[in-house]
Amino acid sequence: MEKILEITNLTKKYFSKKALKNVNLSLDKGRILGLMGPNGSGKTSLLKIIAGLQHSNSGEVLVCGKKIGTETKKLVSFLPDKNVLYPYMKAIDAINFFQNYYDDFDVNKAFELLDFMKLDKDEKVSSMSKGMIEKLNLSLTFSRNAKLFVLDEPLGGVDPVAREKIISTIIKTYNEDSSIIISTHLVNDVESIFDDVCFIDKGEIVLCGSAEQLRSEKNCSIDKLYIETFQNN
Amino acid sequence: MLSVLKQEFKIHKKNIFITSIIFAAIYLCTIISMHLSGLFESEKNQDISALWFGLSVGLGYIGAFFIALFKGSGSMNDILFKDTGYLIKTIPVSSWKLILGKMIIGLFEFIVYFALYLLFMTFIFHCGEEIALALSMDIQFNDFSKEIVVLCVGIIVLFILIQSILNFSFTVYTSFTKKVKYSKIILAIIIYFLFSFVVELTGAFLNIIDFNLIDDILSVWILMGIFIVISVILYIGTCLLYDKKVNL
Amino acid sequence: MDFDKNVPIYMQIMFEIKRRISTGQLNPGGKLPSVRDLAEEIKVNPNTIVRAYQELEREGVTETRRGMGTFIVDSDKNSILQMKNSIGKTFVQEFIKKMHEVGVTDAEIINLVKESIGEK
Repeated sequence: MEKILEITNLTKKYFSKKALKNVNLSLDKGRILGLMGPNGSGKTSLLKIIAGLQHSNSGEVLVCGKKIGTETKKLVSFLPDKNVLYPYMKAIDAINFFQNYYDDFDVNKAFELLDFMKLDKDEKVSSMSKGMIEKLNLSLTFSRNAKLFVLDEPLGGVDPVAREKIISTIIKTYNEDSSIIISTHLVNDVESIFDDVCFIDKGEIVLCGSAEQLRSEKNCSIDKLYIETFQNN
Repeated sequence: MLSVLKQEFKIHKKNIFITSIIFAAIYLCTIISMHLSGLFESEKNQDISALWFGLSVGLGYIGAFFIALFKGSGSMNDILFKDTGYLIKTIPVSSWKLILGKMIIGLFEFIVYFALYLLFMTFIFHCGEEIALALSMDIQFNDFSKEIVVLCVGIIVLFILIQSILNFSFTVYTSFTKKVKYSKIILAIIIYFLFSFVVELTGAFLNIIDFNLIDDILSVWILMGIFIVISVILYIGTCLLYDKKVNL
Repeated sequence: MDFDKNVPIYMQIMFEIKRRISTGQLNPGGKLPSVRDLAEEIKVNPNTIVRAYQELEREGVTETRRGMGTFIVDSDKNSILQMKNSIGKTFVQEFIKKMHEVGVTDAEIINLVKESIGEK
């Protein structure tokens, strides 16, 4: 059975600085992975490489057995940590944009999610608050029937109500044929939705495993484990 | 490819419409002011109409050129230097289709503005003799139609060339820089070098061909052919760099 | 439902279901919420819920009927009593452990319990 994501010996350099060093990671389908680490640890670089926004220097990244390229962009739905929509776009324009470019985009689901997030389809992005834009971006990302959802800090800067809605949407969208990678700082709030967790520091994976197994082995929450692991830096 | 054309047109149609209206308004004002100066031969009106005239004729095509070049769909400004670039780089469209689609819509935009300008100039030249009389100018208005066609095609080819040069420069710059806020100086240097290179290249080609044997019109066509070839090479370079080297 | 994230969540879900059976909130033969519904309700990974249900089935507390869902095994009052006692025992063992940590002897524990129950 093919893995949704298979990363082998991935290295990424910016000039002389190594953002990612020999990263190995694999993800089966139907899993939710939490990618955690301090700022500058390489989380975002890793996610961007999977999404096709950046190139690796060496190593291999396969999504459903395919190398990163136009074909994998059809399978990967990426949620960036900032607004990437054209400011003059209304919510409905953004939906049309996605519908135009992605075959797996479900328009009905998009409108349902807009409703759920209490967003007005005729409102322009430029007049939306940061939280509303996050919700809109999330709605668009999850309206695709992608195989791999990649979310870069989806909970940063949102109020608790919005956060609950986002977590609900993530769980609702989950299905056994696709997987979700979420990078986050807010370990405590979301650790119960992760199947697996991965800690990354200075470009290297320092810990990887099933969340429940780690809880029983270490007798502590993933949050505490994170603090323990990264406290010494 | 169709989806790129559709989407880019959607994104830019409002701008194209508004800019066209503004151009049309300026041209209309020029015509009106010149009519008025024809009717009332006072000193004051002639100066104003001369001003309008100078503005429209002199700047009309330059304005069209620069607006379409930098604000139009064909410019890779949006997808390289702004956050919307993330959105564009994650859509499953090859760089060939994306960049070509953008440049086609960009060219369409320029042609719209340029067509407006030509319409205006045609009107001016038609009334040319009357205007010349009114402005007390001594100009001969012969039949320029053949030369005008070549000139128009030439201007369009020039637009394509300059757009290609700019896009290639932008892409080269983004290939080796990580920052999103760009240094205009370095960018300007790249653009300058590229322009010089193109001029040198063109010069080299022109040296090979003996122009004494070819008439003027043919030589212009040859020059345009050279420009098209250079544009295509730059387009290929832009696509390759955008695919392989640009990191967002 | 609030859980302690320091302990595997699936175990806590199992515990909560057993507790509800003991108190009669969930009746024998009754249907448990679907994995998806429960996951959305308590904001937990669906696979965790699947694990909990699987373990419960392994223990004989629940049974899965294909196409219909997961149901609590139809059992007599004795098994419910057994479940109550087994949960109760877990609490008591934790309690005794805590009391020992504070230095209370076994005899003192029994007296304290009798006193506290007597006070009610």
